[in-house]
Amino acid sequence: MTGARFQRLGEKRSSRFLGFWLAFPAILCMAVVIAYPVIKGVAMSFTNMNLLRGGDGSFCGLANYRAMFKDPYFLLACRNTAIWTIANVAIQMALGIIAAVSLNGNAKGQGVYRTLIMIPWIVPSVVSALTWRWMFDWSNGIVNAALLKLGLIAAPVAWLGNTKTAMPAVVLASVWKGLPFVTMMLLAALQPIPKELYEAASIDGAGFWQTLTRITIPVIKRTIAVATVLTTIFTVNNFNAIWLMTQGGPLYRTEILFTYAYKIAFQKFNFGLAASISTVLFLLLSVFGVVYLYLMDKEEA
Amino acid sequence: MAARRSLGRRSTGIATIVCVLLSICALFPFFWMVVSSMKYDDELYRDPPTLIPQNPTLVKYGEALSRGGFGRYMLNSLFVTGIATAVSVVLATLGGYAFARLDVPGGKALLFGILLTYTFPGILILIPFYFVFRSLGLIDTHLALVIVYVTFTLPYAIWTMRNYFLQLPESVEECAMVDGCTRMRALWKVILPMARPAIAACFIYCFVSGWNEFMFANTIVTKESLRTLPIGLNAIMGEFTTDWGLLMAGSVISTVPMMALFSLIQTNLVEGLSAGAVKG
Repeated sequence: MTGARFQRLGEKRSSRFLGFWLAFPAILCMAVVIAYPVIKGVAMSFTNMNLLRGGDGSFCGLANYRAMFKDPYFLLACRNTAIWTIANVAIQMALGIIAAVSLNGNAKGQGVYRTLIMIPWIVPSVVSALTWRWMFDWSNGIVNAALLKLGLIAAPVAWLGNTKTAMPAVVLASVWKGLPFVTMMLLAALQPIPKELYEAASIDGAGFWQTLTRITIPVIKRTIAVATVLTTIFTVNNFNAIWLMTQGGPLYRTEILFTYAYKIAFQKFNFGLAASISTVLFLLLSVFGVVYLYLMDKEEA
Repeated sequence: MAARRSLGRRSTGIATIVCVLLSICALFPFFWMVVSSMKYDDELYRDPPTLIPQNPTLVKYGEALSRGGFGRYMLNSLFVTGIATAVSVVLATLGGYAFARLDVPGGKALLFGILLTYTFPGILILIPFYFVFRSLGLIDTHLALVIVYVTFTLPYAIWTMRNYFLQLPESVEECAMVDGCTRMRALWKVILPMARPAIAACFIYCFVSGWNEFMFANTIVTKESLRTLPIGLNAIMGEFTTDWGLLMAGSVISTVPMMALFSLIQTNLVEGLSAGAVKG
């Protein structure tokens, strides 16, 4: 009895010991490289750190935040972030559901389609952005050449240089890159649904729309929620797509909070202000982060 | 009955059309990248453009490797991403195992805290880190990139490993430990071979993340000899003119290792799954 208890106690202690040491390197890494900079970054947002104007990093209270909310470009960047994110998420989710349902059907050659649809995911994001930039090129791009030939436009359009078309163009490129991930997530959730369920629904006279809204979507609704939150987070953080295609231009029309903070930091060298913009971004993302954790926690249970 | 069957056939038809359309949309930019990389300049800038190179050439690839420095960038990318991936997979495997099976101080709260960092904006980390790296003399080093890439991939990698370990029956290690293995030995000899699919998935995730990373590399590395592929590609973009053929050749060069990795891991994934299932 005592022997067994001792043994169990020893086991528990050794599990604790080993658990600590196995997890320690990873946790140390994240504490130093993520937790510390985040705290420091938030702290920096209350300082006048500015390498151009001789700000020495001393405490300046809420001055950066006050300046930020008076800055028309910051407000424009907030608006653009909303448009950019909502457009990306709505289009990717809608197309993702259509793609996943189609890929889960009985079409011939499923394997080939599944491979082809994954291509944008494999292409590096920098390559994707620069290739789209080439396709959207004003004088030699394939987009203008094709649309001119089809008679849909009368003269070449500078897709990425025009204030009206720049945002739709970057959204299109980013949807292309992001769709495979959403599709694969949804497809993985669809696959376990037994085919008999669809057959039974069909015998009962359910049409395509009824099958979709009564069977497919209710079964995968948690995956839809997770995919929506993840796509939102990825999109808000998607620096590459915008920076490499437009650098936030023309006239700040595609400037999102992320690229604006980067610009203020590494082109204007006003690190204090950039840190406060990043802090706002961080708070915004934390909301989605908490929703994400909530969904994952439900999955655990 | 006939109507119902035709409905089924019709929806299959629609699904096929959707699949074909999506495949074409997914393929076209990639196709255009390859086509553009194989044309001479006079054909590349011809109006209207040719869909298939009339005079296919690899001259831009030669240029990318010699003048463009893409051989060097490729080595740099392989080095940085390779080391970061190896470190990250090892740390995530150990950490994931600890969270799945052992008693980690902080337990579930810590685990969810780790996942939360996955959503943090990189820019909030980059700004203070730029100063830290500067004071440590790590600007213009590959070490700085390795540190960043390891850490950024850890949260997701730890979760993947942990979820996979949770699926494995605990009796597997118990048997090995009853037979006299220590826990570490059981992990090494019994659990790891069964976890190959999860390790492969982590490997892909970490490698792709590092290979694609642009912002940190662009800010931390300024020396040309240290550039990774994404930085090298972006450097071809000129302010007034861009050698698009060269850029597309560089793009293909940057994409090929990704395709190789996916085809390689896919066979290993299947192999790992079946080996694990039969022997386990």
